Amino acid sequence: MPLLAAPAAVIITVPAHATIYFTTEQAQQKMFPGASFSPAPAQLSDADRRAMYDRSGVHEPFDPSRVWRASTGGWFVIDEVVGKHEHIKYAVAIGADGAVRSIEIMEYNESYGYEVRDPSWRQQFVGKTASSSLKFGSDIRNISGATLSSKHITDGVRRVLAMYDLVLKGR
Amino acid sequence: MKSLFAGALALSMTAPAARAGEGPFAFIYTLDLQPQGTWQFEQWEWLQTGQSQGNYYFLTNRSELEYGFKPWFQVGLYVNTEYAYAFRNGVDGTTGGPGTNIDPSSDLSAPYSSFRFKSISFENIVRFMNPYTDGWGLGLYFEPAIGPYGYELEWKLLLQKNFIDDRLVLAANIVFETEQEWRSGATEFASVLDLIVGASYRFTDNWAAGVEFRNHREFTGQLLNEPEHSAYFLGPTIHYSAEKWWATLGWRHQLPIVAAFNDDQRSVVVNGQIFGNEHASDEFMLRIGFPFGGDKRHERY
Repeated sequence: MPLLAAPAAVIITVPAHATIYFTTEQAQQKMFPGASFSPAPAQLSDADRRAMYDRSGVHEPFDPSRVWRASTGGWFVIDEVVGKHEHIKYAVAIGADGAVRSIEIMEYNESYGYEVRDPSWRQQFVGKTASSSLKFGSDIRNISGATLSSKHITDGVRRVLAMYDLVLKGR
Repeated sequence: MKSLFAGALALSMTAPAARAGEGPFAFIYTLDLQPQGTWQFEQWEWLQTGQSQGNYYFLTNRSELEYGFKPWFQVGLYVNTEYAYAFRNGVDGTTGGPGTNIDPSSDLSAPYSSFRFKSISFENIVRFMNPYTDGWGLGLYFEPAIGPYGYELEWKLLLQKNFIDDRLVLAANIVFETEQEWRSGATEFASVLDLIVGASYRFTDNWAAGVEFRNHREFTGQLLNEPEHSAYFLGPTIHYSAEKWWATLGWRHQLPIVAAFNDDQRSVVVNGQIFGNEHASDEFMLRIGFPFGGDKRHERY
């Protein structure tokens, strides 16, 4: 069946490449200008992880090692959620008061949906806390053509805020 | 023989059209429509092969241009061609099968091959419920096709439910087709009712694997008049997708549990599979898509 085998070989040999908009350091400096950062891994119990899932609905495993404390106060967290083709890597800056200061898309590799990088869409998260309503479609608007991406990022930010509420708050 | 001919007509006019936008299945439509204002070129090759004996290959080619007219409405234009090769593949040792058009007075033991333009078809998909925001996906598909040999009207009800961060996709299509074919001055009618269901799981970035099942029911007349047969197909699908392109490869095997409802149909059943002018033993689908027109990757946000 050479007709079918040849394209299959092509599929396997095509390398993936990532579009990186921010490295960790670049995102840190943009979101907390002038600050220095110390790693502050989150200590998550099974109960914490269950609570994060209950509050966000996100199945994708959370990497607790990607949490930093900012010298100027606040927390810098990197998370990943499922995109249409690949993972979407993004960062959340949480102020000392527990409210979102900003979010940045660090890596995005989809056919569509680059509007999730639009500042006016990301601005909707600013000021949200763990107790805020963060409902996709009402509190955070859907982006037509990027529904999956915008929904998963919204769920991801809700999970990051839940993690803050469970283990970072008060540290 | 009339029912056999009608069956052949139904199969030859039946196109398990590629799903809208980009989804993980080879044969099933999902509700991932093209974003508004974006385009996609899609090429698919559907090979049916293997009958009760001899050699048989039937390749259907579809070239499609899709456009997202609204967030909930997609249109597409297809150009359909087909190639058939057959040699002594019939149950009785003669040459024939789906996609062949052999003069009964010719040498039926000789090899046959043909390539022909089949039709142009116009796809319309309306999404009523979005699986990402409404919990369930629900949509309606309508595709008229017309060519030198006949016309076809095809409706599909599209259903979809996603799980596990939208990695796991369950989808079903309920398909109704009504067809008319013009051949040698005669007009023939047939209709089809299909249920296609599948599950696909994105097991790592860019890759999804799944399984698709099809129950194909064929009838005489344009409105499901008299049942002819009910055939079943099952097989795996693998899907690769990236930013600039995607490809899907699927295989469906005819399960040996066909139900044939008249003597003509029963005469072409071998070991539980139906052949003749109806079906082949295996179907392979390869589809490749290239989305374009919506790349905002380099916009300076």
